[in-house]
Amino acid sequence: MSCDAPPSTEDLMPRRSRYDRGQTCIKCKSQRGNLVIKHTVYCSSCLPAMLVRKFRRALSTSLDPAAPSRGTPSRTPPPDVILGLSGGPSSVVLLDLVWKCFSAQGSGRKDERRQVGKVRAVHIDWSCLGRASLVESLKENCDHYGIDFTVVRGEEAFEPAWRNAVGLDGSAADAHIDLSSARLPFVPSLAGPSDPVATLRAHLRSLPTPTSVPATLHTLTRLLLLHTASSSDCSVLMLGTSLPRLSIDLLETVAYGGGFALGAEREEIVRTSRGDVKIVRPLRDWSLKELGWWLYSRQLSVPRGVNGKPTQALAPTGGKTIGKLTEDFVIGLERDYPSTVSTISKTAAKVVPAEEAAYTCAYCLRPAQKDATRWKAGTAIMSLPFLITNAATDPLTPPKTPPLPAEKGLADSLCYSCYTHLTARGGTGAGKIPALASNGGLVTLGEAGMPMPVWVQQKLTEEEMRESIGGFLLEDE
Amino acid sequence: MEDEKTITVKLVFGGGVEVLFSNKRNQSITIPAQAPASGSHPSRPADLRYLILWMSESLLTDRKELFVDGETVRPGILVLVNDTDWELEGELDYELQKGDEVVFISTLHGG
Ligand SMILES: [Zn+2]
Ligand SMILES: [Zn+2]
Repeated sequence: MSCDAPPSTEDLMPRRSRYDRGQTCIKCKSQRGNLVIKHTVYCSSCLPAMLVRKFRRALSTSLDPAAPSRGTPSRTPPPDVILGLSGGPSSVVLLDLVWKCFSAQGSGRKDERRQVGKVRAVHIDWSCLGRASLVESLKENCDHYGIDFTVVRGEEAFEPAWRNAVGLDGSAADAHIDLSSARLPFVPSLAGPSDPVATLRAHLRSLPTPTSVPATLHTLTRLLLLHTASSSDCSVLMLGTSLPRLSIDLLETVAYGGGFALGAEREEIVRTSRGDVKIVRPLRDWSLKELGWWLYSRQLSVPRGVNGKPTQALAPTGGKTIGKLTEDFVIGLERDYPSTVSTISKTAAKVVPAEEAAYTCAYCLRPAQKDATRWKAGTAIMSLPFLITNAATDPLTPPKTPPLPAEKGLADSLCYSCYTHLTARGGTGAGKIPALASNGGLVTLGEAGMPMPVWVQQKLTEEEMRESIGGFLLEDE
Repeated sequence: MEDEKTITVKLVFGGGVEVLFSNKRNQSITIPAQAPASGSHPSRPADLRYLILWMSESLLTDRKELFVDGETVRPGILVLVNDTDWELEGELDYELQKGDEVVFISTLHGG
C-alpha cells in the first residue's frame, strides 16, 4: 500500500462496503480496526473483552435469568456442568472460554467463578462409523486445561449395558419397530443380543431417506450427552453452538416439522429419569468470524480437520441432504448478509407454541403436541406408490384408504419430527449411503424390525405385557 | 530465491484447514510477482485473488472444495492479512506486499 492519504472506501470496495463507517474501531475510536463483525469494525485490543462479555452475557441469562447483580453470593450451590465437545472449532473455543472464565488459572473473577460448580468434558466418539478418532487430541486438550475428560462411544446408544450404567430403566427388552405400518408397532426381536455397532448401522440403514441420517446422528449425540449429564448429576449441558450453526439447526428443525419444539434449539430443559438437565449454548450469538478470531488470537488448535465431520462418511451418493443444503444457504448468508443470520435465530426465539406439550417424545425427549403423529399416520398410507399400484390393477375403482391400523405403536409417543424421520417418503433410501451398505450385513432387517436406541422402550400395561409374552411362556402349573 | 519477478509471503493455517495443506500450520511461499491474466482479470501485480488460485493449483491436492469456492475461499474461512480482516483491505483485490502474512482460519466444518 502506498504512504499517501488512505484510499477512500470506494477505492477499496468497488462493489459495496462490508463495513458501515471508517476503518477505526467503534469501541476505542482511536485504533485502526482488525475485524469486521456485522458491518462494525473492532480493533485487536478491544475484541477480547468484547467477546468474553458476549459469552458471559449469554451464559448468565441462560444459567440464572433472575440472578442478582454480580458480587452477591448465590444461595443455591452452583450447578455442575458438562461440556459437550465435538472436536470442531466452536467446541475448542467453548473449552477455552470456560477455562478462561471459570478457573483460577484462567484468571476468572472469583465472584464469577461461583456461577458454575465442577466442570467436565464429554465427547461422543463416532469413530465406529469410519471417521478418525479425536479422542487422543481432545484428551490432550482437556489435560492442558485441567478439565476431566470422558469419552462415550456413539454405539452405546444401542448397548443395553450402557442403559443400566446411566441409570435408565433396564427392565424392558430392546425395542424393535415395524416401519411398514404407519403406527410403527413394536415387534419382538428375533435376533438375540447383538453387537451395538451392527445395531447402530441397522438403525441408520433403516431410515427411509438418507437426509435423515445426519439428523438422526445429531439427535443420538444429543441424547447420549444428556443421559451422561444426568447420570453424573450434572444439571447443565453446555454446547458450543455458534450463531450460524444455531440458525442451521433451527431451519432444519422447521424443515422436518419440529416447529412445536423450536424454542428448544436455543435453550431447553430436558426431564430425564434422574432429573432435569438444562442445555445452554453460550456461543449462540457468536458469528463465524468471531470464532475464527478467537481461535487465531488464542492460537488454539482444532482436533477435527475440515475433512473430519462425522457425517461426511455418511453422505449419500448424489444429491445433498437437507442439512447440507441448509448449511450452504446459511453460511452463504453469513458472508453476504451477516445480520440476517441473527434474525433467523431471534425470530425463532419468539415462536411460542399455541398449546401446551401433551407428552415428551420417546426418541428425542422434546415436547410433542397432542396427537402429533395421528394426522400423519393417517395420511402416510395414501402415498403415491399406493395410489399407483391400485390404479394399475383396477383403473375404474377409486383408491380406497385402508383403515388405520388399530394396534398401538411407537408413533403414539413420538414427536412429529422424529416420526417424519422414521416414515418420510420421497427420499432415495439410506441404502444409497455406501458406508452403511457395506459391512453392515450382520443384522438382517425385515424379520427383526428396526432396532431403537436403548432409551426408547415399549411401555406396556400389565395386561398387554401378559398378552405379549404369553405366547412365549411355558405352562408350569 | 526472491527477485523482482517473485514475491515471498507467509501463510498461516488454523481451525482445522491445515489438514488440506500437509498439516503444516506455517508455510513460506514464493509466487510470481505478476499475476497472469485469468478470466476477466488482466495481468496485474499479484493479489489475493491470484494467491488463492495459486494455492489451489500448487498446494491443494484433493478436496479443493473444502478451501476454494470459485475465485475466493469457501464461506466460513476467515482471512486475515497482517492480523487484519481482509474485508478491511480490499479482499481479493488486495495487492500482496513482500513479507505479508496471510492467515486462513476455518470456522465451520461442512460435509
Ligand atoms: Zn478498539
Ligand atoms: Zn422426537
